[in-house]
Amino acid sequence: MITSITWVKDYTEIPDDMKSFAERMTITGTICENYEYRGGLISNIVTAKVNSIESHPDSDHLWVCKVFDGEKEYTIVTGAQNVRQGDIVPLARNDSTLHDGREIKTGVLRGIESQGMLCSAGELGIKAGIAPKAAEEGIYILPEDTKLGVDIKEVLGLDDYTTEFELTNNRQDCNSVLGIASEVGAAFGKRFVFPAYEFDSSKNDIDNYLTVSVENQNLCRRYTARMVRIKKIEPSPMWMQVRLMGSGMRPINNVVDVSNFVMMETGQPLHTFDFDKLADGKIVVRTAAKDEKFITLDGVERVLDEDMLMICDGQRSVCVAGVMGGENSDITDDTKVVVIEAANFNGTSVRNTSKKLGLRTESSARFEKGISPFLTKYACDRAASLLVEIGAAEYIDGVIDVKGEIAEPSEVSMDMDWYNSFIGIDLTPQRAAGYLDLLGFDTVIDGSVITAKTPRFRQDIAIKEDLAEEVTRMFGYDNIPQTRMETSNYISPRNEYYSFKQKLKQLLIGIGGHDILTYSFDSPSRIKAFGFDQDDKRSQPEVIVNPLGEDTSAMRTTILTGLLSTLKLNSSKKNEARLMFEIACAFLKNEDKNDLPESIDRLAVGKYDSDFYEIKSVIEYIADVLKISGLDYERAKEPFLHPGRSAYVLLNGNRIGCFGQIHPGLAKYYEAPESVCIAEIDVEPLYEAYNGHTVHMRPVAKYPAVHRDLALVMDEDTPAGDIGKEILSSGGDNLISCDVFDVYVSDVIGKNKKSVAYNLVFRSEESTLTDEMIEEAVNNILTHLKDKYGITIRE
Amino acid sequence: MKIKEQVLSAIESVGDLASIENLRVEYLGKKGKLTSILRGMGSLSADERPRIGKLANEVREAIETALSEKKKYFEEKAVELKLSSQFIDITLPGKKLASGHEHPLYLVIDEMLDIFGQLGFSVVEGPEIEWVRNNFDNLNVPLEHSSRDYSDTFYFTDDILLRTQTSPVQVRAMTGNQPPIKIVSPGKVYRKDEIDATHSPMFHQLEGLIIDEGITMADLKGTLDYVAKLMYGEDTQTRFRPHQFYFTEPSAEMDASCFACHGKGCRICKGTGWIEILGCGMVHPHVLEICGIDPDKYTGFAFGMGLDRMAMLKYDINDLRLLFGNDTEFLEQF
Repeated sequence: MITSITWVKDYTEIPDDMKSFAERMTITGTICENYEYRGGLISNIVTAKVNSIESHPDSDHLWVCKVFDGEKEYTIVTGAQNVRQGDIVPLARNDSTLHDGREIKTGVLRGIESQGMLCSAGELGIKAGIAPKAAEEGIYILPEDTKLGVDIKEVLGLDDYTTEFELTNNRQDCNSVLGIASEVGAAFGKRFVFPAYEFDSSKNDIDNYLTVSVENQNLCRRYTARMVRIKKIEPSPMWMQVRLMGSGMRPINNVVDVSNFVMMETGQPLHTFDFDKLADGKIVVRTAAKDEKFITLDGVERVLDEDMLMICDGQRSVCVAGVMGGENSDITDDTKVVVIEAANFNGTSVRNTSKKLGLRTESSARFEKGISPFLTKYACDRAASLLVEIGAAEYIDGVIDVKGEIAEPSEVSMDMDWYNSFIGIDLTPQRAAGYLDLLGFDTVIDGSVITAKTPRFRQDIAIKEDLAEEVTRMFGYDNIPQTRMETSNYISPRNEYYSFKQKLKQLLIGIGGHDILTYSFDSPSRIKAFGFDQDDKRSQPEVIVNPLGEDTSAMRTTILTGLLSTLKLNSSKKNEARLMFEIACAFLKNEDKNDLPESIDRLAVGKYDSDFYEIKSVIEYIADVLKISGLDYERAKEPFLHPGRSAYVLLNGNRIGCFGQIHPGLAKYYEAPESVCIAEIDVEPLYEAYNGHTVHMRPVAKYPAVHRDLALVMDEDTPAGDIGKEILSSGGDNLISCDVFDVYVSDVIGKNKKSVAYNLVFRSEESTLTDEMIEEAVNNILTHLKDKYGITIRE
Repeated sequence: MKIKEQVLSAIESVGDLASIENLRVEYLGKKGKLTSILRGMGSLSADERPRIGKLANEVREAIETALSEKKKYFEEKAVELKLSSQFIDITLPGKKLASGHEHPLYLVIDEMLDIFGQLGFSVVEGPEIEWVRNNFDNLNVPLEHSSRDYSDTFYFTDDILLRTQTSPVQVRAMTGNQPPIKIVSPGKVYRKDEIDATHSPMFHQLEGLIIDEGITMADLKGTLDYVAKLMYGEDTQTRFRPHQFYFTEPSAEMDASCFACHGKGCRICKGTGWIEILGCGMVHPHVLEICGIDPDKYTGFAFGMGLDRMAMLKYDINDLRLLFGNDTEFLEQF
């Protein structure tokens, strides 16, 4: 809501200090975001009359004017082409300053001394599109009756602040000067009374001209009309123009200006029709015919449908209700009689129509947000009386007011004992009622109970909590004491799963991992590039019906999409290779179509310039630190992974993820290096294994360990890890670990053979192990390996 | 006595560790000079024996002390010599350990969770793909409200959407759970905004909710003011402004005095001295009712804050896209 502060001052007192005004408004709930002084740096610019104008002897586009400010005549050279003798204009005299701070001094223009300059709207700081068109393109020609020698700021109302209030959805009544005035009144301790407009209600001449019928009362709760006979269509008076401009609206003519003025003032959008263009003297409110064509005021032909509410005359549509009028009934300079419409249209209907037509107007925006049905008559009365007051028209007596069921303003009771215990303060009913009175409520106190009747134009008060907010914001949120839930010492149980995820992250950061954050959506084609089988759930992402664009239209079924993009970006920037990881959700279609899709927490890890074993070591490290036992690996068959360098991660036999080097095809698609290795693992099974594990300390051995290295010769395709397990199982109770530390492939060893070196650690809990005991164990192992696999010790 | 002087002067002039051992053998060894004197004590008279014995022992002790001191001297000297030959270039860097980095957004989330954890709140998460009823209907958002439009919210079906706020977690927490409830819920939320320096179709919020008997608006203020002080320091001031949300009544927005200029006005707070931190309010009785909680018995408050903006303010990040870009050059600063 943007308004001239001068306009608000017409109705209620406002302190001069705008800063403290804005703060007080903000703190009472009407956020005052901005206020801008309209006068800028203007000084020494006054009104003056053009006594004479001649063309410059040395120029074909300059003019030399004699301009009189009431005391003295000045010679001014101007390049503007719209100045005529007798015009009253803004004169910046010698030593004056324009809005933007430019200083004006006497100077010589093509040999003639110019003692200042004449100003356009722009030079006076009036923003483009707001001042009358002629005043923007040329010098601002002021009304004939303007006094001479008067400060231009006074004449154009520039000693003012354009003020912006941020309104909440429930307070559309404040999207009006009167609404703001009532909040200002309350904020500064003075109940605001809406001005009343009195009419002679004995005569109903209007009925002789016009009939109004509403066919769709659900879309039009109320339709109020008045008529006036126009004297002359001409510019509106300066005071009205000034207020409109101060609120960001361009003055057009007296009828349009009054219509806009009253909309800004009351919040009720109005429409005006040229009565003589309404066939049969009728107004009918009904929905449009399917595919009906209609030309709106802006000259555009619109195609309508049967859900759109229209204002029609006896034969045709004349206005899209609440959105925009039609060319066929518009006010022109020849208009003699005007119908003023103030109606209450259904907000959702106006919104849908406006959207379908792609036509959003000040009026439609206001209807969308919901307007009090009590406003129509008030605004219609105000518009008619204003037109008469400014001499633009005469009354045609009477009013037409077609209305359906309109509920009276709500009446809500609030027990102050409840209130005080709810807010945590101690107010008397009298004091609380006092605040409500300031806001325009009518209150009755009965013991501790206040019953309050809502002001007519407000629609946001329905329950006691609403009243509580009203009282509290007037009391001041700042004045509420600060307590810390002394009545509730409840401590909520820890979310162990969330803590686990945090721990997992910390572990990965501890080994050099970078925690990344990527988008949950991706393009279907980037998911498709993974080549998932059709019967793999990951091939069918959930798709957004109304995406921003194709590239963010599918919910990813694997979180590797973001990781790959991250790796690509960093490798192309030649950043040093780092382990990157993310914990995020992947989304899979639910078999039950009526249920939410499955969300699965996944851990993705990846790095370029990496290999299978580096990623595997990350998985083993996590399992080791988190005491997750039961992990195993089997060769993976994933279309996006290198078939020979990838594996599934099994936990107690169940697949919980996969890892390895990416397939060159995927690398190419994502423009990532082929050396990228990744892992994607479900987080929940890891958590369950972690959470299910309890440590029971086993005694710490007193005796030293014995290390033995064994280099074994085996076929090149023998899985060395499996042999390690065989060693462990055949090495007796004292063999506590067996790790591969070297693999050597060479013809020296034998064709298609390799040598694998294992480090064996023996330890007994009962005694120091002797060489004989170790020999025996090693011999058992070697015999077993020889018998079962033909594996021998390397000579 | 003579022996003593002899030995001591010999020890004094000794030049290495080996000679000390030789001296020890010469005098104190099994066949050493002093040892043989002590052995000869048996021939002395009973009168002389104690006197000479004592003297001999004194001499022996003095020799032993002198020997061990000298030995220690040589050992220390040897260590010194060794150390002085082992000086290295201390300006060379240490062995590189891979250093990991947290994401600034998660740093902010973790900080918030720490703070709320101290106040007895625990974390609850909810699904990012949500029911329309949890995201809007049950939060009292009017059917015709524009936030439900296709232009604002991503939909999968008429009933399923990408949550636009973390508030549906409130509904989930309240439905089927009786108070007390004391939760915070960080997470991703989605709105139909094009990606630019300050907007993103995916961003993050943190929601909080407490429901119990006797919770007041003063509790709301006191708790959130305390949170602000933990976030930005003891001298942080807070300001509560009336506001409107569909699921709270009364509602407020909380500003904190600018952590950069302490309220004087600067670039970060755009000259106002205040930074908007969160929206909050007393849980709307309709919402309590919809979720099966008796609004006559229980009250509570809820709050929500945007985490991306908080991270940007805290770390002086000038472009939201950096948070989702994951350039290591960016990440390694945190």
